Amino acid sequence: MKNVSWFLALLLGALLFYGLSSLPPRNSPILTDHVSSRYVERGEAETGIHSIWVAVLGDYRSFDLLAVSVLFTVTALGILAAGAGTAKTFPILPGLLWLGLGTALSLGLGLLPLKNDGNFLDFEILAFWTDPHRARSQGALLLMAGALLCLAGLLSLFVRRFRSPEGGK
Amino acid sequence: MSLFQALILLLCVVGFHGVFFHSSLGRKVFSWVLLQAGLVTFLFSLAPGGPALPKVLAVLAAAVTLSVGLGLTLLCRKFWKQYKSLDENDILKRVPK
Amino acid sequence: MREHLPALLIVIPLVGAWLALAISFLSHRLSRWTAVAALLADLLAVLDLFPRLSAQGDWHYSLGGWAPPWGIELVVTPFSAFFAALLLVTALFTSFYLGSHGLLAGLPKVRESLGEVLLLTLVPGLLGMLWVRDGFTFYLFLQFSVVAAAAWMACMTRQTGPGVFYFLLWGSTGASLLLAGFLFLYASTGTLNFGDLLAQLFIFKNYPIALTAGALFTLGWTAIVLFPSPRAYRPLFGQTSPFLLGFLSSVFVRTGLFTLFLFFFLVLDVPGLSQPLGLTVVEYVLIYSLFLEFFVAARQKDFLHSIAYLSVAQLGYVFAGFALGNKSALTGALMELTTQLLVVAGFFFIAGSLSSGGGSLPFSRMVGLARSRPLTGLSLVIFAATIVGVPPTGGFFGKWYLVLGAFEKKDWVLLAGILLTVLFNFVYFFRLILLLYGHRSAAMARPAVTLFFKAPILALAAGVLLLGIFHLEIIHHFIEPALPKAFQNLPVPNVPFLGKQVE
Repeated sequence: MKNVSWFLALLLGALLFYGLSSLPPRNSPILTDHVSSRYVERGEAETGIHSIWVAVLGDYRSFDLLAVSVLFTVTALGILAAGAGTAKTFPILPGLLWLGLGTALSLGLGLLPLKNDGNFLDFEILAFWTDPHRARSQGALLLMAGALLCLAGLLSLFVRRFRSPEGGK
Repeated sequence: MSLFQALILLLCVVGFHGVFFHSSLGRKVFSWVLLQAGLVTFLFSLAPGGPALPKVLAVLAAAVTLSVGLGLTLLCRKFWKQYKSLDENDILKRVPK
Repeated sequence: MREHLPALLIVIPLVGAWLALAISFLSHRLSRWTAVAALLADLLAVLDLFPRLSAQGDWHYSLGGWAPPWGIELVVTPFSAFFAALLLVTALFTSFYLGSHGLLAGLPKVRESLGEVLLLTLVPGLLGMLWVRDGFTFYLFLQFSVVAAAAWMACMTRQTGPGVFYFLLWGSTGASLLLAGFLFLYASTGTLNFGDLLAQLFIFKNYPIALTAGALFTLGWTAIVLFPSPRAYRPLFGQTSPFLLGFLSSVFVRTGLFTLFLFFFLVLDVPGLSQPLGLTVVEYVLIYSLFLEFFVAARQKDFLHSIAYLSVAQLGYVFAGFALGNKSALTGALMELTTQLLVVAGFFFIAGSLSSGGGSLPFSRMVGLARSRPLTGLSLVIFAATIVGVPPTGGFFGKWYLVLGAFEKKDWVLLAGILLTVLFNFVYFFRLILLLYGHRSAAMARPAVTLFFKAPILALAAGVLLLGIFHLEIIHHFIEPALPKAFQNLPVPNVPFLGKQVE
C-alpha cells in the first residue's frame, strides 16, 4: 500500500499541477460569472434577503443545505447503529429529539409549498402564512435553523457516545 | 502558479498520500481532513472579495468534513478501545475471521 | 402532487426512515413493515413517472423555484427512471433477505430495525445521484450515500471491523476527488450545472481543465467501484452479510458508473473532444486490469470471493464501452450496466442464502446444488450465462453491441479483450455447470428452503432473461434517449445556456 500511495500521490500532484496552471487568470475575459453575478446583483430584490450568503445558502441552493442536514442525520444514525444492541451505553433521546426536530423542520419546509402548487423548497409559496415580502427570508432562516438542529443532534450523540465507558463495544 | 495554488496543491497531495501511506487509522483520518482542507482552500481562492457562491460552498464542504470526520473519529475510538491499537496491521491480525 | 414526483421520490424514503425509527421503539416487526411500505411506495411512484416520460421526454424539475444554473434542478430521464425502478426492486429484495440474515447471524432486533432505517436513508442518496444535475449537490449526495452505506454495514455486522472504516474513508476520499474535478470546472466556467458546464466547455474549449476534471472523476470513482474486491475489502468478508454486499456491489457501484457516464458524455462532451494517444493507453491499462480479475475470480476456492472479483471484473465491459465512445458501444455499456445490476445482486443473494449468517462458502459446498435446489441452480446458471454472453440473456446483447462498437471503431485491442474474456468465461461456465450438477454425498445434504425465500432470486433471473428478450424495446425507449445528443439525430450542439447571453 505504501508504494501505491507514492504512485497515487505523484499522479494526483501532477494532475493538480496541470489543472491549476491551466486555470484562466481571475481577470481573464473568457471567465463568465453569470451565476455569481446574478446572486450579487439581483439576490436581495429576488429573495428579500439582505445577506447574499443567506440568500445563496438558504434559498438559491437550499437543496444543498437540506442535503447537509440529511448527512448530519445519517452520521448520527450511524453513531447509534455502531453501538446498538449492546448493554445500554448512553442516553440517545436528547440527540434524537434535536435530529427529529431539525429533519421535520427541513423536510416540512420543503413539502409545505407542494400543498399550494409550489415546487419543493419554493419559499415564495409560504406567503400564504406570512408577509409575502418576507416569505423567502423566513423560509431560508428556518431551513438554516433546521440544519443547525440536526448538527446539534449529531454533536449531542457524538459527545455522549464518545464519553460512554462502553464506547469500545 | 500562485502561493495560494501551491498551498492547495500541498494540502491535497499530502492529505491524499497520507490516506494510503499511514498505517495508523488516526493519521489516515487526519490526512483525509487535510485533503478536505485543500478543497476548502481552493474554494476560498475562487472568491477573494468577490462572489459569495464559493464561500457558501466552502462552508458546506467544511460541514461535510465535520460530519464525516466525527464518524471516522468514533470508529477510531471504537478500535482503540477494542484492540488497544490504531495500527491497521495489528487490528487486521486480531479481527475475528 | 404528481407534478412533484422527482422531489417526492427522494423525500418519501427519508420520511419513511424516520417513521420506521419512531415505530421501532414500540415494535421492531412494525418498524420493518413500515420500511418495506416506504420502499414499495417509492417504487410505485417511480412507475408513475413513465407515462409522462414517454409522452414528454426528460423531466426537468427546478428546486426552490429557481431555474438552473442559479438554482438546482433534478432531471429524470427514461433510462434513469428505469434504473431507479431496478434499484428499488433490489432494495426491497435486500430488505426481505436481511430479516432472515439477522436471525441467522444472531443480530439483536434493534439492529435489524436500524438497518432498515439506514437502507431507507441510502436509497434517496442513490436516487439523488441519478437525478441531480449540479456538481456540488452531486458531491453531497454521494457523500451521504457513502456514510449511509458505511453506517448500514456497521449496523448489520456482529462486530464493526476495519472494512467499514476503509469503505467510509476511501469512499469519502473518492468523493473529495470528484469534488475537486467539479471545482476545476467551476473555476474555469463559473457554473456547476451540468447542462451549463457542457455549454461553457463547448464555447471556450478549455481542454486541459476538461482533461483534469475527467481524470479526477475517474480517480475518484476508482476508490468506490473497486468495492467489494477482496484485494481492498477482505476484512468485510466473513463479517458482513452477502445480501448487504450484494446490494452495494450491484446498486451503489453501478449507480456510480452511470453517473460517470453522465460526467464524461453529457458534461465533458467526450465524443466532441479528441484524445491523445497517451490517454488511450491509460484507458487500455485500466480496462485490461479489470478484465484480469476474471482470471483471479476463476482461481478462488470460495464462492463469495469469486463473485466479488467477478463483480469488479465485469466493470471492464462498461469501461470498454466508454472508451470506445460510439453509439453501439455506449448502447452496449448501458445494457451491460443494467444487466450487471441484476446479476451481481443475484449472485450475492444466492451466496447469502447458502451460507449461514456470513462466513465462507467454499465451492466444495456447492457440489450438486442444482440437484437438491433445482431453481437456485437454474438461477445460478442464468446469471453465469449472462456474464458469458449466452443468448437470450441481457448480457449477450450488451456484449454484442460492445463488439459491434469495437468493429465500427476498428479498435482491435479492446475487441480482443472483450472476446478473450468471453471465451475464458465460457470455459469457466461449463466447469460451473459440472459442479452444480455433480453428485454429492448424503453427508453434504442441506436443509430445504421455501419457494417464497427463493422468489427474489428467481425474479432477478427472470429479469435478466426479460432484459434480453425485450432488448430492442429497452434500447429504443430507455437507452437511446440517454445517449449524447450527437447520437440521437438531434441538431448539435444542443446548448441550453450561453453564458453572458442568459437572462
